[in-house]
Amino acid sequence: MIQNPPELGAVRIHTDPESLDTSFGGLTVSTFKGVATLITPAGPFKMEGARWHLLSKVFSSPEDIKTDLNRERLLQETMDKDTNCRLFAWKVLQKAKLALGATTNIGDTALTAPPFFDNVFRGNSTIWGFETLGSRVINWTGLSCEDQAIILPTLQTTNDWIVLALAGRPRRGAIPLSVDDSVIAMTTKGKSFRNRQ
Amino acid sequence: MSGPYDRKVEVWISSRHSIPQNLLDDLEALLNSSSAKDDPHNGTAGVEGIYLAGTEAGLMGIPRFPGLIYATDGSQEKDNMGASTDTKAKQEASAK
Repeated sequence: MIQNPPELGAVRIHTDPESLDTSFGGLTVSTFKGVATLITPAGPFKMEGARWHLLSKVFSSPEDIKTDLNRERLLQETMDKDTNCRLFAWKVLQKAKLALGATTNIGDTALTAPPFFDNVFRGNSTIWGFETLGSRVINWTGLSCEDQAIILPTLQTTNDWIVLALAGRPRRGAIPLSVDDSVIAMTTKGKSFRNRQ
Repeated sequence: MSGPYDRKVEVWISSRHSIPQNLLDDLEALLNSSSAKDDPHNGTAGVEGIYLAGTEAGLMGIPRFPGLIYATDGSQEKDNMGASTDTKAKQEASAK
């Protein structure tokens, strides 16, 4: 019940769920019931509507988003097939963020990166925000050998980071996680992963 | 036979940075959580505000609407009917 109703008002009736035109950067996109469908040369591609909205605001430029998004999509598909890659659950990444007061995430793609980080990058690719040596949560399994080689020296010169990695022998060509004065805080079974797309 | 998730997870930190043990314990518990679902997180850190603005409710401007919102929802699935009501005012009151 409205205690002090206004003298004038408006009623908008939605009889059916609405499809919104969320096109951006030359990509034809419609968002319907929380799911965005992108029309790409390879066919329709669906993602969370919230994810698409975020990427259209903070990732790439209208001129480059087609190319940049396709790069991220191909990378994600490769990672999804690689049994050495892990997509850590957001609740895990958030706890790691809180433990450090971290602002930066490294090792996710634009399709999976958690929005509760100010900065997300991988190797030389910035997903959003900017590359920084501030406090970082790093998914080592989400980095290519080249990306690992780029980041390793920065771990030597900074202290405020948490690296999530897999125990045992690294995959062929992977950079061993060897950093002076680093310690393994825990080795655990670890089964809290996000479902693959 | 080994499966794709048989390898254990290691958490590395710098020995020059102190992280409270209780936070590491919490992290270990979450890593071993069997729940496959991440609960929705409606925070304000990072770029969450932009992310949430792209949800179904966000695109309708519901979080920014200054008035009272009354919503009903119904569904019929597997011969079961469900219905619920909610108000924005009720949600805000329960969050306090």
